[in-house]
Amino acid sequence: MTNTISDFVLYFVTGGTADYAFAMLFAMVVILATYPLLMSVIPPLFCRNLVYFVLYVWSRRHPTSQANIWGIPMKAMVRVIY
Amino acid sequence: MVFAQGNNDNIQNVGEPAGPDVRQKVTGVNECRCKDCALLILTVLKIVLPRFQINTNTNILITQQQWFKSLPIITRAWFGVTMVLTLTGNFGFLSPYYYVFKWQNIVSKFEVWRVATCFCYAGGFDFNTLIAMYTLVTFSKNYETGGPFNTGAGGTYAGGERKKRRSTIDWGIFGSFLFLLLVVVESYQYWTCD
Repeated sequence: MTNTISDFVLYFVTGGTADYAFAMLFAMVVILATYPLLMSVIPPLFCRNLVYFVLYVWSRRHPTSQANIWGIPMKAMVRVIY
Repeated sequence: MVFAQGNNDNIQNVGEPAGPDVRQKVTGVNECRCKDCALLILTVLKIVLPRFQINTNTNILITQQQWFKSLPIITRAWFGVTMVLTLTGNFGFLSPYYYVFKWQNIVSKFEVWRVATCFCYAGGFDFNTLIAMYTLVTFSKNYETGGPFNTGAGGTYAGGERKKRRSTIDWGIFGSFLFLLLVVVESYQYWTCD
């Protein structure tokens, strides 16, 4: 297990991780900025909001992939409705 | 800080473990066994988890530690921090009040960790929290290892093969959206009434 700097850089140039990092940053900025509109609705803990953001975007990207919800396999597009 | 305002009676007992009488003298209550329970559970988990094995389809036995190291980097970091913060918050090591997003404390007291920690506390010990953690690991890993997916970082394809590059109007929409967000952030003190 050699973990050199070039391996570390490779994580960020091969595509998935870089896009994911930017999407996460974007989602965090949006959630924090729109929190004043939701102050009386949700507590100031946004872990599940970020989880549902990731779930939604991934399901839109792969609408026909197989995904499990509570152990029941179904199409990923169904999760968007959920 | 809360930890700084204690009395100095327990200084002479620094080298000794805090017994029930010392705890009663310092805190006034003798019923809080949260830290002892947490230490017990964490010790048991530390012994049990490396021996717990998942049987995959390929008949390869993977320990928990190897599974955690096999996660991609952002998923690993997010899941690890979420696990640590949720456990510490629920076992009473730290109050979850220190994790919440409070703008006044960030600005006036420089408690900048609140920007990150509010995304890493999944909730109390609950079935919904378990489902949230499972969803976090599964879909974060799927997203991160699923190949290039342009969400604004540029460089990869958006919209399949028809659209090879990100067009200018996308950046325009993105910029105007960011401008709107900046306006909302700057008017934060008018939304918060305290």
